[in-house]
Amino acid sequence: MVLRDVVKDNPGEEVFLLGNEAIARGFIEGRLRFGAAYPGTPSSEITDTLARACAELRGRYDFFFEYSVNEKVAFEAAAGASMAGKRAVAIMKHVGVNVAADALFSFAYIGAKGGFVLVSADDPSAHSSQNEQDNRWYGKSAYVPVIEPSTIQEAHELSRESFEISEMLGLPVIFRTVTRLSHASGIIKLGEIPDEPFTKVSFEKDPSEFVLIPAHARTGKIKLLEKMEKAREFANKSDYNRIMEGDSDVGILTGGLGYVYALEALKYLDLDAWVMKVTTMNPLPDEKISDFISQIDRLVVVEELDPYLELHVKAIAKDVNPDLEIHGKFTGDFPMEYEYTVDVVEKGIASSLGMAPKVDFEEIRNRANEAKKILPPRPPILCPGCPHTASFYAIKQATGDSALYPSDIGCYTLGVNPPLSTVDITLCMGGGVGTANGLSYVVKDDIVVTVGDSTFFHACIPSLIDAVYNNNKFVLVVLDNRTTAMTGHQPHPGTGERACGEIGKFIPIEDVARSIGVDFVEVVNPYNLRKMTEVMERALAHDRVAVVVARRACAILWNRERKQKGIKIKPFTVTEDCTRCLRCVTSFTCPALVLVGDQVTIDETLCAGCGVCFQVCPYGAIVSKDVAEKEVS
Amino acid sequence: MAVRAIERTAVKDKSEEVEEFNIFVSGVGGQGALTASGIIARAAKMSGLKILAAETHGMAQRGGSVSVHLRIGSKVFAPLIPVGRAHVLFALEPSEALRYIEYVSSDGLVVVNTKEIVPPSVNMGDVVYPSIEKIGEVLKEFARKVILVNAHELAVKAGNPLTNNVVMLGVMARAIDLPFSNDILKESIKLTVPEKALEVNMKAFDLGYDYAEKYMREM
Ligand SMILES: Cc1ncc(C[n+]2csc(CCOP(=O)(O)OP(=O)(O)O)c2C)c(N)n1
Repeated sequence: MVLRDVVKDNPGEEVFLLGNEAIARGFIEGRLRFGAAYPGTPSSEITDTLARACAELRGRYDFFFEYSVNEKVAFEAAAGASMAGKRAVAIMKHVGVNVAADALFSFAYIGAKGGFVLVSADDPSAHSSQNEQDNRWYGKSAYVPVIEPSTIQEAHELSRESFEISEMLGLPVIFRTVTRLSHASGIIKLGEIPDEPFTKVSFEKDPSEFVLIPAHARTGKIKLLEKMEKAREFANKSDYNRIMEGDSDVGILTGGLGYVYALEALKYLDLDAWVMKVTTMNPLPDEKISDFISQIDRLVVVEELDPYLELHVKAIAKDVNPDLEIHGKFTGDFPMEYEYTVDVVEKGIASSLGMAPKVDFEEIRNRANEAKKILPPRPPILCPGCPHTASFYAIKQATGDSALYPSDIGCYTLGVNPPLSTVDITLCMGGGVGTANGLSYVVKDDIVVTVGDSTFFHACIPSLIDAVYNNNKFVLVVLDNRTTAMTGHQPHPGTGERACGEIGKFIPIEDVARSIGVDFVEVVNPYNLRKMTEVMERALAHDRVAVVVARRACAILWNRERKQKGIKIKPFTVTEDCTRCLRCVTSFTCPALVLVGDQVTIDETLCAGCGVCFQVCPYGAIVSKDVAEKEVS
Repeated sequence: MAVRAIERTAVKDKSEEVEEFNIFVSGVGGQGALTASGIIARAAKMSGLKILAAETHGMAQRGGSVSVHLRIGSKVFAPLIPVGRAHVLFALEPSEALRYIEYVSSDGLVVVNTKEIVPPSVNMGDVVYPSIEKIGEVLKEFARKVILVNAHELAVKAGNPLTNNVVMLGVMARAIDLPFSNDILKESIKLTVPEKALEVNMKAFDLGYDYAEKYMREM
């Protein structure tokens, strides 16, 4: 990450930034005063950048940033700052908006005082997510404007301008980005780092606005509709929604990344079509769209995921140009699922217009897929030394591998893969303990739930209270690796650190469990397989809900720490005593355990030196290299 | 400081004529694919070229396959390289070349490091890792020019196995006409790698360059 460039105060300089860094920079240039977030790919680099910039800019340009316990908490925190008149952002991945949605729908009624932006980082193709929902609909159903950039430059500009738009309309604004924009890099021109000092204000009370009792909600709805009408006028005037003239009867209606894919497809197809790029996804620039579709006979809609623009343009065309031929997802020219690519769009436009794409993508893909049949898959895996691997192994030992394993979302979800196979259900964050409650009434199996430490704080506590209250029986193992690993090692209440490096209050998970009334709570180091297995056996025998905290720092953090302190990693090695039983690779697993022919070897460059495989080996054939060398000499 | 001085004196040698040049970089997490991509992107920027890059983040990073789309030129808008339109497929690992083979253009170039990293899926005994010869053959069915190089060996010769990505940059620089000069590419390497590793990296680059020189003469 190039924080140096993100905090650089050199307006006009061109720097090469990640989309998410450009967005963070835009918020700073836009005079953000408060940000709150719960991490989630693909949004995490926006928040990590703001966290670091917040510390770096302290004294030069002051703003506050916190990692909140979950998205609802983050949203409400930012809403509070906005109600007091300060510019605020809440940042989350698409599914996080579901968690925050309760607050979102009602905050629209109250409206924003200080500019308020909700960043929704969507993930078409679900690269790192449990679904690929299209959050443009949130704007529609919550009556909140949605803006969506198409390029990194536009993302930078719009994140800066979004506060102004929000304040002008008196409404929260959803800023939608997608993985391929957030994780693309390009050159942006820096604006100014503001230099106004921060001052605290006195809250100006007004119950008729801020207290949503039914009477106020009813007047609030009217005000909201009036604001949305103003937003519609803005959308129709704004240059962010623009029409590019062409020389044909064909028009392309597009937005988001669809726009850049369409430009490339037109380039390759050598087509001079009209193009309308929509940036305000809600409200839509209906008049501009009307003008646009009046000029053409054939329309191709290019948008990722749901047929959102397509549905709306169909409604608009009914009055304006009923004969318009509309191509998109409904006509089967474009897919409903997954992210677009240039070839998908080139093919879609070509098929809409009865042409052939310039390259036979289908043929290449088919030939490539055929050729790739000899390829071993390389899915993401748990790292060498990952404490989750040890925990899963111990859990299997204790249950005789016969229990039901609801789990949750984090690195540990990778326990779904063989040979661990200790993840049977993953629904949503918090869903592990949640589903276990219902399962405990209806299944015969023992239930062992696994959740991460960050996940525990996010949404597991209410479900755990439910379990205690209702006498639901299962074992909850909190895989406490001292960080939010999956999304890039953000802190959380169980680490006691805070976003911008300040010290926070450390909240031990075991204390939370005990205070709720769980009467079996144990903390164990999963690297000690025997101990962890023994604790698990006792937890399984307990007649109510039991909580086991498997505490051991993430191996990546451990490696970093050792590197910093100049401590050499002591790898393990396989000795001649190996009988080739292969237990270490067929019931346990580690990327450092490599099978060469029928012989297991340890890749020293990968080995983290955790020694867990040493405990797995029934023949004592895995030893620390130090020991092995001493024995030889 | 050094960065700015360089950027100001950047030679805008080829920027006018470059409309589109696509490099697809692949490898396994930890191999330096992101660093190699950063070096290429920086060289393009130093040459005053428009550059877009798209990386893998998040879940896929955990020991998985890493890919970076690098797109250079005035007529480039989208972050992803279209199928069949990469001028270069730059692979730090043989199976990771094959994994993205659909991207390379039929008259493009594949440079591939032959040092394998066997994925744990092979440990389970359900799949085997194909031979380098087999992978090479398949690659040749997709691209006109394929250069296989044991970059690991050359990197060790240069003095540090971690420089395998820079060896590969050297190979690519000799094997195809890049949209920026080799001097700028080397300058970009200098600005990217730590000061104390400069010499090894320059040596790694040259070893790769010379390897390609010889490879091409023999072909
Ligand atoms: C509602 C929601 N918010 C955020 C995410 C993104 N996310 C996936 S896993 C995870 C947390 C992982 O941390 P932890 O539970 O500590 O497990 P670890 O990865 O460290 O094993 C997050 C934030 C999500 N999938 N859903």
